[in-house]
Formats: sequence, structure tokens, C-alpha cells
Amino acid sequence: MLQTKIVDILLIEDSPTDIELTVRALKKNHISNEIHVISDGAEALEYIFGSETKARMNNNPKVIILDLKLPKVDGLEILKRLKGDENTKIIPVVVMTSSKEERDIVESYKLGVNSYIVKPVDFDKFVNSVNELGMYWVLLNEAPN
Amino acid sequence: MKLINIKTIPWTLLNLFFGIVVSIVLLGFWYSSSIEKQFKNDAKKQVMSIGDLKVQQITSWLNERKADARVLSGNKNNIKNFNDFLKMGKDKTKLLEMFRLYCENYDYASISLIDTSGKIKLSYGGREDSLSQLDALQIQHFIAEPTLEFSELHISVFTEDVTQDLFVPLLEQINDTTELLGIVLIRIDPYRMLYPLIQNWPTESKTGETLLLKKEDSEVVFLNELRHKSNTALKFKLPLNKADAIYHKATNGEEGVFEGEDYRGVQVLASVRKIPGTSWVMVSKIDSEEIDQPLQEQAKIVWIIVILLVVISGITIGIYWRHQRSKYYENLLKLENENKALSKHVEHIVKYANDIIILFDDQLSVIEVNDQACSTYGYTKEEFLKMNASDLRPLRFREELKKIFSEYEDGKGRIYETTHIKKDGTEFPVEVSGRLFKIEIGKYYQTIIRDISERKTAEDALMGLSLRNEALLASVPDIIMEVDNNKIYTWANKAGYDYFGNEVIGKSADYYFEGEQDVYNMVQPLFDGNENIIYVESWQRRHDGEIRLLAWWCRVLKNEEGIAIGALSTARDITIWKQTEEILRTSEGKYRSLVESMTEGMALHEVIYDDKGQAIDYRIEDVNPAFEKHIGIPIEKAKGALASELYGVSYAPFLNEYAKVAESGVPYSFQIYFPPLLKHFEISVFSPEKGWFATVFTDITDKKRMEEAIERRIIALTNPVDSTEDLKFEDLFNLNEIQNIQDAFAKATGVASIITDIEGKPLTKPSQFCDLCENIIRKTEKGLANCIRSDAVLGKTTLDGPNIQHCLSGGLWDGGASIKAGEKHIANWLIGQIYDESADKESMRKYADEIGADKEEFSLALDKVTRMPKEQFENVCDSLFLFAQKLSDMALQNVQQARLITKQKLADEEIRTLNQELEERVIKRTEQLEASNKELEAFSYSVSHDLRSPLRALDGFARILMDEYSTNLDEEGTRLLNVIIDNSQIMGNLIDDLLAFSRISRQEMQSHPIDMFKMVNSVFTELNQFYIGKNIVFNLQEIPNINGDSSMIRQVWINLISNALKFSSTKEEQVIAVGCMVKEDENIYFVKDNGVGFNMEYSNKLFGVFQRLHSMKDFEGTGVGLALVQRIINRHKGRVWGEGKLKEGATFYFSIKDKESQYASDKNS
Repeated sequence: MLQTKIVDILLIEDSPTDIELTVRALKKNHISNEIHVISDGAEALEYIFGSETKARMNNNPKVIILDLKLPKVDGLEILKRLKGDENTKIIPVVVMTSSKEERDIVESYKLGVNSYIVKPVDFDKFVNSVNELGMYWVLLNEAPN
Repeated sequence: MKLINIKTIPWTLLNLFFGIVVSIVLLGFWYSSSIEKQFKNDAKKQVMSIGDLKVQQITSWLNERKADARVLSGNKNNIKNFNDFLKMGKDKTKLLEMFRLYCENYDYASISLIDTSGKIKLSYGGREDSLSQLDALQIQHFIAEPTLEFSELHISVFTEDVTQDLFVPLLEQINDTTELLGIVLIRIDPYRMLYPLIQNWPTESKTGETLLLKKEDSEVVFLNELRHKSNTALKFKLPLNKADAIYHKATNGEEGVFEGEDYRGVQVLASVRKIPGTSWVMVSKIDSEEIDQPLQEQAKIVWIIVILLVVISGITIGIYWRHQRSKYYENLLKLENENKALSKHVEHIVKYANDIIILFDDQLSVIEVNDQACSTYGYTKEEFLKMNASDLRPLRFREELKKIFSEYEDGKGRIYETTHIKKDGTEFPVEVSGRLFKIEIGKYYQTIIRDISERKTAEDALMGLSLRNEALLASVPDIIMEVDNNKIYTWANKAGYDYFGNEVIGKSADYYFEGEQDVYNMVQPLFDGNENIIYVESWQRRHDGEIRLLAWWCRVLKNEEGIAIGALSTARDITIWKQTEEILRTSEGKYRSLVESMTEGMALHEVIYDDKGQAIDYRIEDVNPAFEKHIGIPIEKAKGALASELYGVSYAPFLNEYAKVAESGVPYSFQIYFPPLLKHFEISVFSPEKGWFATVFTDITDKKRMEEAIERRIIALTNPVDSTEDLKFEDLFNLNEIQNIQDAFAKATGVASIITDIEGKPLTKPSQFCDLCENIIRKTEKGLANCIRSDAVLGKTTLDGPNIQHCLSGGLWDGGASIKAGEKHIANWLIGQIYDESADKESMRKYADEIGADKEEFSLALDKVTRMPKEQFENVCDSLFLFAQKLSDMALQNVQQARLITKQKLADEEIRTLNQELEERVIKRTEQLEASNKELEAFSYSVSHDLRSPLRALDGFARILMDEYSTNLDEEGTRLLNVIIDNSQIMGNLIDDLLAFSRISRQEMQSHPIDMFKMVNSVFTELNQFYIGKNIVFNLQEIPNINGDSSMIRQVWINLISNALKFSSTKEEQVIAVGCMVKEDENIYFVKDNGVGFNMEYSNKLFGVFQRLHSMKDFEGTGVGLALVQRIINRHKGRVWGEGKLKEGATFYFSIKDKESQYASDKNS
């Protein structure tokens, strides 16, 4: 049954503390809908493009939050695969990373990212960012069917 | 001029006026009706709100009364007093006193105490027997059901006053049961309280009135005193027979605002409301007339305005109409004047016109002529007026006159030429332009006649022009011929006659054709009418018999029906062109033969490309015979072969170089060793067209070998010159040249000559050797050895002169001189084989025996030996010595020269090596730099990503701890958590600043003009908002602009000004000054503050990364700002420095070269 459950937010992030902070921030703002966390790039690709889960990816998640620095396969590669595939390119992807580097930002936008957020060090700001992100992409944004 | 037609009645203006009037009136109607609606609405609202107010007032008045009663009955003391009185007759005075107080305080008419049997026991202000029958009945009813309630308004039987009663039950609580002790009856006089309350109208109104009424059977009873009628309370009743009367509606239970008649029959606006808890209905009304009055006034004003507007528009239009009329008349006057001027003008024209103007009436009699007519024809005007149109024509032209004039009837003008006659009888050609015009009085013919004698003359002259055309054609250098349909020449110009001869006309064209020619067929389309012009070339015989090639352009001639009747052709002799063309054609063949015969190999190739456009091979398309000679591959085999296959290699030779030439078309030459053939070639490559190339090559293998030999010689000569070294004569001299010198010397002196090495081995070929030595002695083993030995002895070095001695082999005179290079003895030049009389013939014969030579031959040969006196030979030897010495000098020179060259070569080589090393080092260093740059980039990238992450965790979890577990923390715990949070923030800022700092060095710089004044202003405004409420004086001078990276320079200003603001924030009044000192070639900008300043001792620490001169407690900061400033300014090739004094302020300067000098330095760099 796990395979068919509805996932609203797919969080691809390897730092356990950042995962906890993100999930906490989302919950704090009552955007706890359904969060699925994957902490490994290869695993993320398997989850998205694996045969078992492919059908489900057509309907959801509403947004993918993606870190750039990931074990095995990095975030930009995942973004490239997501935006290069007919089935997944319509899923909004928000890159949320510590990197403020111009080239990461430019490269992400070139690959078609929907939004790029630099994780602030300040937890309050971080909560705000995650809140706005969740509000917009999960609750407000009207996705095509 | 445009004249507007003015009608007697200006309908347009009238229509406009009516339109305006209608719209103004409609507007007035609309406005007043909308005002009326609003007024009505307002009145309705007013009446409604007054009604609401009244209802509320009455309701609350009733409730107050009930509350009074409850105070009376709810008080336990009172109850006890009543009980005592009723049961024991006690306290009467006390109760009376209480009643009195109530009556006076609340303005009641009377208060009575009634016992349970319904008798009045005590009363204040009323009579004790004043209970009417009705009252008694009510009391009985009340005793049965004791609740606090009002009676209806009624007329007291005794007092005949309108009263209202309030029954108050006195209840005593005994255990669980309630017992009625008695009743207090409070009698209220409505005139005192209720009626005034009702009658009071809250606004100023003449007719506003509130009244209470109630339905009683089929009548309506008015309960209060009315405004417009007296003595009405409960006495005034009206039958309910008027359905739209207000009181009728009110008693029907309807509520709301209505219009209708009131009790007087007057139209009113009324609000009808029921009073809750009673059977009363309340009507608040106001007369419609009163409401309408201001409305009517308003309407009056509106209509006055409407009328005013109508009048104004009427006046405006009237004025406009008058203006139009006056303009019209003005224009009329103007037109009339113009007409007058025009007619004068016309008259003038007619009178003085150059053309003759004559007017005829319908009988063709002259009725008007102008002056020109008189002067031309010679008649006076009076004479003219008696004449007829036909009189102007010669007799022979008079017949057609009627016909011409009748043609005018259609109203169109006609122009024709004819002849007229003058009074003196001379005839002259004229052009007549005539027209009929009809006016009220009758028909007139107007004719304008022009004397065209001159024109006729001119036309006649034109006729002569065709002759000129012919002359023109004749003068053209090209041949022009005309043929008829049968190709017979009918006309020729001069050039035509010159070519074909004078008898050409009448001859058939083919008469002049040479050889078999198809010219007739080629030009046939002309005569068929299919073509207009045809070009042919044909060989034709000239009149002198020479055959020339003519180029013909033939043009068809057609008659009026469009049928070809011949052709006009021009021809040009193109024989020379043809020949030139021929020569050119053959010259290609000549080039071909040149290529065929040249000694260099030549080959033409096409480059073969793959799918991606990459050259992969080339095909040999053509080669010359020399190719075979040089390469050794037969032409047939080479042609069409792929280079890689032909030479048996996997990669076509020199493909890169060749492909480049074939692509770019730039010729290229090179020398190369070609391993497949083991040969050296010099190859020149050029491209005749894109994708093709030709090579011209020479086999330079021999030349190469020779060069290598020379190279070897030079290398041999490079060693230092001393006696131990291995220097050889043949390395120092060209042996061929030496041989020539030696031969010439021998021939001139007649002595034999040879040059040997120091051991006597010959280096040159012997010259002028005698038979004896060459063919006899040297042919024997012993003899040869002796010769060599003798030669060696002969060459022993002497400084002062040649060695002269008898030959050790044979005994002839020999001489020798040594040749040296410096101290090194390298060769001997030997001469000799001279016989003089002093020689011992006998011993010589013995020697022949000794070496085993034939004695006979020896003797014969000896006889042939050159004979010379010894003195002469000695002279020859002396000159030999001089030669040898000269050769020695040359040898030394050669050596030195070689050494110099070698030195140079070595030096060149060294420089080349050094350069190469340097280059390698630069490349290596660049690589290292790039690598370290990459490393640095990777480092800052990971700093950016990885260092922030744990900080976020620190901050985040500390905050969560603070938010969710603060109840479990004491004050110290909270403080410690805050320390963690603050420090992670500081660390975050440090990382951000550090990254910004490193980014500045990597960032690419843009250069644009910067408006510095504007930039500083905007930076200050931006920063100032963090210091709101502070007393800041900001002095910004006019500062010059600069070229630079605007985002970087902005950062400089931000850092410097924010520092100034920060470090002066402790002052009452902060003074910040920004300015610039313009020096010769640079601008020095500065930011000055009156802040805490710094000690100049530490000025060297100002610009270091993370260097701070103040504690974090005093001023926040990361210590990166000024370092960043320095880096940016350094990148702009400027300087930055600071001056300060503790507690007095600081000034920071940065200099940037001004635009021009910056430009200059850019150019230099």
C-alpha cells in the first residue's frame, strides 16, 4: 500500500538536520500534507523513474524540494533527468540548497528549475522560506492535470 | 475662395438650436426628477427614523414604569409593612408617606392599596371610592391572576379624566407557597407624561406629528391629544371606511412608511409602527406639502437655470449666425472685386493677346476682334465688324467653312489648320481653335487663330533631317547594310561600301559568303517574323579579296501591316578578336607543355572529406612526367589513386598541411623528408580552387646531403685550433677550388704539383706530373713509399722559406711548403720533378733497379722530365712558399670564422633553449595557477555549502529548544542558548562576507561610465534608513565620474559610508563628508566621519581580512569590509588608505585614475 500513497512533497535532501528542520518548518505551518524524504541521489532517481513508482509520479507530488549536494547522483543531474522526461517535466521542482554560487543558480535555471531558494542560516528565516515555498507550491499553485 | 451658401432661413442653425433646447430641457427634467426621488427618500427615512425613535421611547417609558412597580413590590420591608397594615392596621402613616414619595418622584396621579377582596384600603392622591365599576371588575380579574400589568387607557368614571392604571401584585412568600397580600394600583395621568412624550417632534416641522391609535370594533380611536384637533384623547373616533387612509392601514396591522390621508383628510407621509406589548399603533407623519415645499423651490431654481441656458445658447447661435452673414457679405464683396479684376484681366488678355481672337455670331458675322487680329489681317476693327467668316479665307477654302462651323454644334472645341488671307491679299497658314458657346442672348462662335507660318517653315526644315540621318549612318564606323526580302542588298552606309565595294547594291548577300555557311538559315526567323534581332558571325570576302569574320546584328524591317520586308544589319569586323581568342586557347596548351616539360614534379589533387567535413585523404587527379622521375611511380598508376593507397601508408602524407591550403587558398612551402621514398623534397602547395590543391616539388636529396656535408665541415672546424686537435685540410678548404689553383700554378710554372697531408698522402690530384714519377716510380711499391716519405720530409714546417731538396725517390729536384692553420700543420704543397744538369744520371738508373722498374722505360721517361736551371726552380719554390703561407692564413681565417658562426649558433641555440624553458615554465606556472584557482573555487564552493549546513542546524535546533522547552530552562539556560544562536549568526555573516571577498577577485570586471554623485547619493539614502532618528549631517560635494565596474564601486561606497555611519553612531551629531580631490592623472575620493576614529599606529591592520580595531561589543562587524574595498580598488588599479585620530574621526581615501589617463594606460598595456 505504501507504493500507492499520495505524496504531496518529495524532499530530496541528505543532511539529516536539514531534513528535520525542513519537515519541522512545514509542520509548523500546517503544510504537513504528505512528505516523503529521500536522502540519496540514486535512490531518488529510482523512486522517480523506477517501474513501480512511475505511474504514481504522473499524478503527484505537487512539488519536489531538491538539494544540490547529494550522495551518488547530484541534484543538478536529478533536475536534468526530471526536466528532460515528458512525464516528470511538469512537476514543479524547487532547488533548496546552501549554495549561493552564481553558477549553481544559473545552471539550475538553465535546466528549468521552477524556483531556487538559498537556505538561510537563520532558522526563523528558514522557517519563513519553507513556509512560503510550501504555501505557494502545495496550497496555491494550480498545476496542470 | 470658398463661399458658404447663406440661406434666408439658417435651418442648420435653427435645428442645432432646437436640439440644444430639447436636450437642456430633458436634462432639467431628469435632474429635477432625480432630486425629487432623493428628497422623497430622505423624507421617508426621516419619518421612519422618527417613528422608530418614538416607539423606542414609549416602550422604554412603559418598561420604566414597570420597573418602578417592581421596586415597590419586590422590597421585603415594603411587603412586611403592607402585611402589617393589611392584617393589623399598623404603619398606615409610613405607607402613605411612601406613596407620596412615589407620586411626587414619578409624577403619578395616585397610588392606592387594595386588599384581596377588592376594597381600597389606603390611597394617596386619589379618592378611596374612586374605583369605578370597570376598575372593580378589572381588579377582580387581576386578583384571580396576579401579574404586573397595565390597564388600557380609559376615561375615569369619576374624574372623567383619561387615565392609565398599573396593577402591582403584593406577594408574600411563605414556605413554598406564594400568597397574594393585596394590590397596589398606580394611576398614571397620560397628560403629564405619555402625551408630551408622543407629541414631541424631534425636528423643526410645521406639520410633523406623532399619534397613537387603536382599533375598537369598526372604528379607530385616537388615544392622545392631536396637533391639529383638540380634545381628542379617546374621544375622537373615525369610522374605518377609507382604505387608503393612514389610520385605516394602521389598524389593519400594516407596518412601514405610507402615503395617504390622515384624520384631517390631508395628504401625509407616515411611518406606522406597533408598540410591542400593547394594542397601540403609533403613526409618525408629516404633511406631504411640507416635504414638497423645498423640492418645489429646488425645481424652481432648476427651471430658471434651464431657461437661462436656453437663452444663452439662443444668443450664442444668433451671434454666430450674424458673424457668418457678415463674413458671407465680406466674401461676396471680395469675390465681386476679384471678378472685376478678372474680367479686366481677360479683357486685357483678349486685347493684347499674341493670338488672334475673333467672335462670330450665328450668321458667321464678325462681332468682336482683338488688336492682334487687326494688326495681322490689316483690317481696322470697323472693317472687321462688317465682314463675314468666309472673307478671311482665300476663295478656294471657302466651301468647307459651313461644314466646319456646323461641326461646332456638338459643343466641343476643334483645332484645325487652314489658310487665311490678309487685306493685302497675302495668304498665310493658320491654326484655328474654335468653339461654340450659347448664352441667353444667342449663339456665338469664338475662334482663336494663330499664325503658324514660322512653324510651317520649321516643319519643312525637319523634312531635311532624314538626309542628316543618312549622313549619320554613313559616318558610323560599323558596317550598316539593308537587304530586302530576297536578301539582296538595297542600301549600305559608307563603311558598307568600304568593305564590300561600290557595286554591292543589287548583289545577293551570299555572293560575299566564304566557304559553306549556314547564315541564311540562322537569320530566317527574322523574315518569318519570329525574331526581331538575330546575331550571327560569318566569314565574308572583302572587296580586296581578303576573308574576314564579321559579326552581324540583324534587325527586321516591317511594313505597316507588320510583314517583314527586309532587314537592317550592322556588322563589325571581329577577325582580330577571333584570332586573339584562338591564341588564348592555344596558350593553355602551352602551359600544359610547360608543365609537361618542367623539371619539378607537379601534381593536382582533390581533398577527400568524411561526413563531418574532416579531410581524410586526397586523390591524385593529374601529374606531370617529372612526377614519375622524382617519385618513381608511373603516371598511369598515380592518376586517380588515393594518396594513402599510392604510397602504402595509413595516413595520406602531409594531409594536414595540404587540407589547410585547399581550405584557405593560402600558398605554403616546406622542406621535408619523405620516408616512403627515402628522399628529401621541397614542396610548394597552392590551391587553384576550394577543395583542390596542386603541389610542385623538387627532389632535394642531393642538395640536402651536400648541406649536411658542409654542416659536418663546420662542426669539424669548431674545435679550438691547437696542434693536438684533429683539423684537416679538406675540412677547411673546398678541394675543387684548391685543385684549380694547383693546376693553374703547375701549368704556369711548368713544374709538377700536388698537395698531401702531413704524412705525404695526396689530398689533390697530381698536376703536370711527369711520366717518370707518375707512371713508373709511383707504380712500384717501393717507389711509392719513398715518394710519400720524401713528400713528408719536403713539407716539414719552415718559417723562412721553402724546402728544396733532391727527391728521396728518384733524385729529381723537389720543393715544398707547409700549410698550417694557426699552430697546426695540416698539409704540404709539393712541387718539383725538375731535372737539371747537376743530377747524377747513373745513380738514378741504379734507383730504377732498386725499386724494380724497367730500366729502358725509366731512361726514356727521364729524358722527358722537365728541365730547368736550379735558380729558376728556386724562384718557383719561393713563390710557392708565399702561396702556401697565404693558404695558411686563409685556413686560420676559416677556422676563426667557423668558430664565430658556431659561437653564434651556440648562442642562438642557448637562447632558443632558454626561451623554450621559459615558455615551459610559464605554461607550467599557468597550469599550477589554474589548478590552484580551481582548488580555491572548489574550496569556496564547499565552504558555501558545507559550512553553512551545520550552522543552520546549530541555529535551528537551538531555537527549537528555546521555543518548545523554554519552560524547562532557567534564565541562565536561555542566555546560553542565545549565545549559541548569536554566534551561529555571526559565523554565517563571516562566511557570507568571506565568500563575497573571494568572489570579488574571481569576478569578471566590466567597465562602464559611473555617475559617482548619483551612486553616492543612492547608497547614502539606502543606508540612512537604518539610522532613522539619528542626527546625521551628510555633506556630499560634486564629485567627478569614473569608468569602472559599477557593482564593485558601489560596494566600495556601501562599505565606506556604512563604516562612517557605524563608527560615528556614538556621537550626538554625526557628520559624514564625501568628496574628491582631482589630481593630475587620478581622482582621490574620500569619506570622512567624526566618529571614534582609530590610532594611526594600527593603520597597517585596517585592510587585512578579519582585522578589527574595535571590539564586537562596541561595534558589530566581520572585519571583511575594508579588505573588500582594498581588493576592488586594487582591481581598478587604484590605491586605498585611511587616516584617523582616536575619538576624532577617520577619513578613508581611494584613488582611481581619471577616465582619460585610465584609457591611456589601457592602451599602453
